[in-house]
Amino acid sequence: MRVLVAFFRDALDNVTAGSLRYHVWMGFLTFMMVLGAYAYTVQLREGLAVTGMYDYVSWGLYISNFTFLVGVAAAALMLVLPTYIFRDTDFVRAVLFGEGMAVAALVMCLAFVIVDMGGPARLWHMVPILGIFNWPRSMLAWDVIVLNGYLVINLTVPFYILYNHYQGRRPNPRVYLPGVFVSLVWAVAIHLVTAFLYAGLPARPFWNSSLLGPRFLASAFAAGPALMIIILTVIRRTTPYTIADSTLHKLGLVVTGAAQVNLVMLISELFKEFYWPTEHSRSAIYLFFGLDGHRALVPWMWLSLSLVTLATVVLTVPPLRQRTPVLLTASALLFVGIWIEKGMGLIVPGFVPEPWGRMFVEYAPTWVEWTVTLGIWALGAWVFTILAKVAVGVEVRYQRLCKGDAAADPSPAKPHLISPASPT
Amino acid sequence: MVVDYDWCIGCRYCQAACPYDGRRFNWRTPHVPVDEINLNQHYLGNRLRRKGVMEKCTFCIQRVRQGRLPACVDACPTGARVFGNLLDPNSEIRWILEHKKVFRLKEDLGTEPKFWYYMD
Ligand code: SF4
Repeated sequence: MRVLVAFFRDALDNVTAGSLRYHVWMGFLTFMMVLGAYAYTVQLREGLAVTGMYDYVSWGLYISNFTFLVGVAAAALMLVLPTYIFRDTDFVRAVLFGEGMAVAALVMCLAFVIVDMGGPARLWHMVPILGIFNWPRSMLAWDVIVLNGYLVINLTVPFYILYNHYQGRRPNPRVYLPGVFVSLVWAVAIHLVTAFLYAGLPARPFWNSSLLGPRFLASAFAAGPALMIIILTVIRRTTPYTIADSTLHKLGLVVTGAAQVNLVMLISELFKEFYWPTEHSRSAIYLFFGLDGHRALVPWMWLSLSLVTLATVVLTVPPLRQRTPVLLTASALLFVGIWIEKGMGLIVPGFVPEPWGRMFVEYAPTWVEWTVTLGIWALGAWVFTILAKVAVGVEVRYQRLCKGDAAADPSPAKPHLISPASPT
Repeated sequence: MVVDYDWCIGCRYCQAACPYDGRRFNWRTPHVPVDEINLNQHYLGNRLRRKGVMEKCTFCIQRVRQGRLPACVDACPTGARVFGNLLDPNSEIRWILEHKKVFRLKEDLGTEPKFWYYMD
């Protein structure tokens, strides 16, 4: 118990101290969160009428971001799997951050869902026992289970590992491996269940597709690790924590594979919608070419298409992919491209045209929605920074403990020494 | 089908799921002038809504439960609307379903709506 208190006290000391740059960054995030909170109070007071949503586009920017971030959370799988199951030494130094990214993404997901509710104060109505949890009939109830379950797993497994490293002990795989196995299945489940939320609605032919789930996974396994590459680059530039080039490049390989599969699926979707367009293809026509003079999403979608294609092609060429600046740029392009596509490009056209084929005013997010959205992204970045900073603190210390005199040389040559997964 | 306006959390999943554009959301607090408020309200029917909850046609549950017809059926000047008990084999609605040409919308979705259109 005393150790636990000390752990949290040290963690608190760690996150409240830091360089000027760190404080400016945290201050900036806090400022953005406060702005977001202010915009949210406006929305609470006036109702969701202050958003751009209305009866014919009843989900917008919030649910778009939610959907995309579920994918980012699920992508932790791509680090957990090689680290703990294949015991790949290159991923070991990144896995804790992968799990931290999952936690931050899930916190954002939950926040986006809550700000989208008409009656957030009545949310307890779906808490089992207190209210009515309509499980297993409602897909939303499934989503609540998988998201919260995944959050718990991604908090406990890394906590166990860090807590042991904090005490200079080697974590016992028998304790954490079951959690790891569950988390692998769970990662697929969160994204698949979220896809089923949409795919299970025959009323919206644009979503009612069996490819939606697999495509979600492919795009997530590209976008998530792409973000991870960027984050790891920042971490190794700004902290004493060492991450080898080989780690980044292996992640690049993961991104490449997933992006290629994603592109194949995209082509097959485009073929199905446009080779012989039916009444059900009208949403896709609206998305890519505009319908009846409504074309708000068209430029975005073509931008996304070009970004994703360009990034995938560049990544596919090994000499290009192996150059770190190219890898970073391609990752960023891919991330943005998928954010557009798996966000607004997925949610909004589902509602357009409405079930009788009519077209109304086009949806455009209002300043309230943008501000709340930025606030939530800042919240995610804030959560991640704190988790990452604690992890770096503990790990760097553990590294020294393990290497004893060799501490002066924090070379990543033998990363398995500090590996949370190193055999025996 | 009715919505409990005190229980709905306003997630709008039902609005996304409805193939008939049958749902309306209270994006802001609905405004009814004080002198137009009907004090005779039904919990699941014609009562004042709050903001952030879903609503839909209730077939005027507050009238139907008293054996009266929904307001639109009463108000229709041509008698084009027929409302009745499907379970009663002697009802007018059952007679129409048996003797007129009827159809339902989006039968292919398998939602079995209890709303038919009929013609002679
Ligand atoms: S918006 Fe619809 S699905 Fe959501 S709680 Fe209300 S009635 Fe239920």
